[in-house]
Amino acid sequence: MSDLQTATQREACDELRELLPAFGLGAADPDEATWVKSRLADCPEAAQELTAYAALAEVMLYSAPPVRPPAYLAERLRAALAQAQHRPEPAVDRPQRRWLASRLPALAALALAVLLLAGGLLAAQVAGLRSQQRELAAQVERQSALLAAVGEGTYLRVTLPAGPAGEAAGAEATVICDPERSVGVVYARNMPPLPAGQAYQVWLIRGEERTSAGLFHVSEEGRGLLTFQAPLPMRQYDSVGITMEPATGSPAPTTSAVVRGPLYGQEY
Amino acid sequence: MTDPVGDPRSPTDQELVHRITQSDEGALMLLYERYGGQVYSLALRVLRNPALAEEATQDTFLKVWHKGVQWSPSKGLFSSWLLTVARYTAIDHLRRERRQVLSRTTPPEVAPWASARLPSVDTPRWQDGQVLRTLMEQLPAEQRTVIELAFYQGMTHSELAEHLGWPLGTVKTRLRLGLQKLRSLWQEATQR
Repeated sequence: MSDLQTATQREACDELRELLPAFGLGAADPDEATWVKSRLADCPEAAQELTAYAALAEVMLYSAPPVRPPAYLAERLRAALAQAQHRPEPAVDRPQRRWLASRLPALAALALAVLLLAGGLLAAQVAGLRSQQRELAAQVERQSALLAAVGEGTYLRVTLPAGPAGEAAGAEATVICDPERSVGVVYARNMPPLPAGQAYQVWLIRGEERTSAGLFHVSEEGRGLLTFQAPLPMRQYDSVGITMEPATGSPAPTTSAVVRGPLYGQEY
Repeated sequence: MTDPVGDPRSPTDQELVHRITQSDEGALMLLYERYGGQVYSLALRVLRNPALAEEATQDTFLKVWHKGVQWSPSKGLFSSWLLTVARYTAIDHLRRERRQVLSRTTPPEVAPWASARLPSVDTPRWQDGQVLRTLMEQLPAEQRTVIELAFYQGMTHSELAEHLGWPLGTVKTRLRLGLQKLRSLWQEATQR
């Protein structure tokens, strides 16, 4: 290699080394990054230096001020996982989840209101519910401090009577929702015991269309709770039904309703 | 690989990732218990918004659920891979929301949502990161600013110049000098 070539290469390596810190951090512009990658093989010392900057960037991943995530985040993740088990992609799209996340306190208020409907039996209910319900109730309790910040809402509260499959047990359910929004809570009572591998599925009914609002299990006393997010504002739905379905859920009801009733016309 | 929880009876990250490939939800929740705080802390540092940080944290672990098989020990520490996923996930959220940093001068430590501090995470990497953060405070403000924007908001040279209203050459110089000095400080600190 001639002196001229050596000098040219040295200059290129010097130029390369000037870009290495930014490249290691991922801050080089695309054309710069392409150029760096193309030149690294010619400058062994630069490659070594890049390793040091990449290591620095790795340590920076751990440099955020430590903050404890909210306790309910684990439950949210667990719920999202349950949905991911059923569908290739999360069932709730990003804007909806963002909307939901920003209104968790309101959801907690709704859920707590439902629990209070049982008249002071919150502790007994919590103890009797299966793990999912227990965790949700715990979430409600954790969020109760936020309730003071939640303004008065114009919520619809409707009691749904037993359907053909729930008459013998005297099943019923209360739905609380805001007609102008797409979140709500279903609190079911006196539900027949679920066979293994089965769950109750809540259906939002709009004409002939049935949309699943989610699955829930019940306690030994037949109580169950579900907070849900609907695709549309609740005023778009005519009625709500609950059927017994496989624990993974069904695309449409496959059994007779355990609870079923209109959302409007009996508001109190 | 270092066991992050220090208990030999605890499953290693590699074991948990393997269980995730077999659709073991419990394994993912164990990883969340182990690293959820670090992921959330990083997401919150990027997004400066608790609701968005929660969403980014959840998305990060869902990516692990769907793509965990993409990690292997040959790629380095699982926690570094996870935090890299978390960083890009949070930056994606940031870009999607078109949110700019709320205040470049307000350190997260005094932000109102930072009241619930994460208990000390007893891993060498985490402790290294906390040391590095204190070292960054020794940098001149303009150098620290470009480094933080580049790392936490994923900005490139051109984006930094546009965002800060500085000449491109100034941005490049400040970023380079800042990182060179930070590297030097880091080497001094770790060689003591």
